[in-house]
Amino acid sequence: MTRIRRVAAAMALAVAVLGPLAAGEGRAEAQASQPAAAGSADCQIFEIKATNGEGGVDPALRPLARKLKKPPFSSWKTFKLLKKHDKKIEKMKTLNLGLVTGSKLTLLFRGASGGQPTKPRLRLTFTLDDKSGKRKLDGTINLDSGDYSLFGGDSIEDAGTYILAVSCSAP
Amino acid sequence: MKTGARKTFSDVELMLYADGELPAEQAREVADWVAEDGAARLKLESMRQVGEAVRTYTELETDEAEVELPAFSDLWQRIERRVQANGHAPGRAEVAAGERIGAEPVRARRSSTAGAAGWWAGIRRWFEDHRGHVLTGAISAGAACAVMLALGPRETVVERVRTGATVGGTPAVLRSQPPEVEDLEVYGGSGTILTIEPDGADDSAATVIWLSDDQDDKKEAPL
Repeated sequence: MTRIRRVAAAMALAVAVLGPLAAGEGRAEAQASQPAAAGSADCQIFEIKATNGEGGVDPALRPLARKLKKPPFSSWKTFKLLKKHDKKIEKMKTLNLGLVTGSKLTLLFRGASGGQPTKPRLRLTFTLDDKSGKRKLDGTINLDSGDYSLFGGDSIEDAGTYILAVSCSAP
Repeated sequence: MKTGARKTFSDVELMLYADGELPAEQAREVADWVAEDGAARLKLESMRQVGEAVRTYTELETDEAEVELPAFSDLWQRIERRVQANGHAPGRAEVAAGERIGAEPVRARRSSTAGAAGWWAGIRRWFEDHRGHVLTGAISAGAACAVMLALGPRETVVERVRTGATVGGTPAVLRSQPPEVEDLEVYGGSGTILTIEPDGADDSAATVIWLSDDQDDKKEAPL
């Protein structure tokens, strides 16, 4: 009888010790394989003016500095931040944002799915209308949390080129 | 034999005295008598000389017989050992010891005649003498082997092989994936999609959508 009790106690101890470990491992796998339940995303929108004058990259654009030295942005020497917007976007709730050029940007966070445990994959839908309200483009992008989407091609005053950079992060 | 006041002794008693086999008190009386009687002293001296001659002759004959007749030597040694063992048969080790002590002439004769066969006989004799040790060692070794075979190997060697997909890199689930444009509509112009890969682990990727006016490719379309 004593021996049976000892065996039972050892099994109970093993379950008590190994159970939480197994459960933790399972949770980690679940986090890696299942979509993150992100209800919102923190977005940064940079409005940038690119020229060929002297000046280099604005210190405020440091997160983008390495990208701005690569094509097609390597055609310009100077990048200046016109305006930065920090916005929190609720899932499936459209963000309407007026830009310095008079154009309008709408951004829709559709949700997060899979990706890395610390960098979920985000699904964003955007539209861009000119200052007269005419639709210029719309589309949907899947990208990792923290990655950038850059839109360019609009010319602005002083022979500059307008660049719009959007980066969203979700927990 | 005693005559008058002077005490005399027979030849047998004188012989026992010469051999030292008389009791102490009687030996003292014989000694007094020999000291006073010249004839007795002469007789005693003669007895000692004869006894010495007989012992010397016997020893010489015995030695000669041991050399010429090995069986005699063995027989004599067995008799001695049996006497020393108080009538019991001696053990094998005692026999070997007895041979080592008392049979040197015989051994020399054997070694000279046996020649090369001696070493083989020596080996056989050694195994015969140590049969118990050899048997015990063999049984112990067999038991140890049986235990080892029954228990099996105690350690399991685990060979770890790295596959090419993970060597020097990050697992696929942890790697950053480039942005992907699911759908894109450009109105009144055309769009070019580019992807900028991250420079390192601390950098991020980027998607570039560059808009151009269809009517004038050189002129950039206003956003």
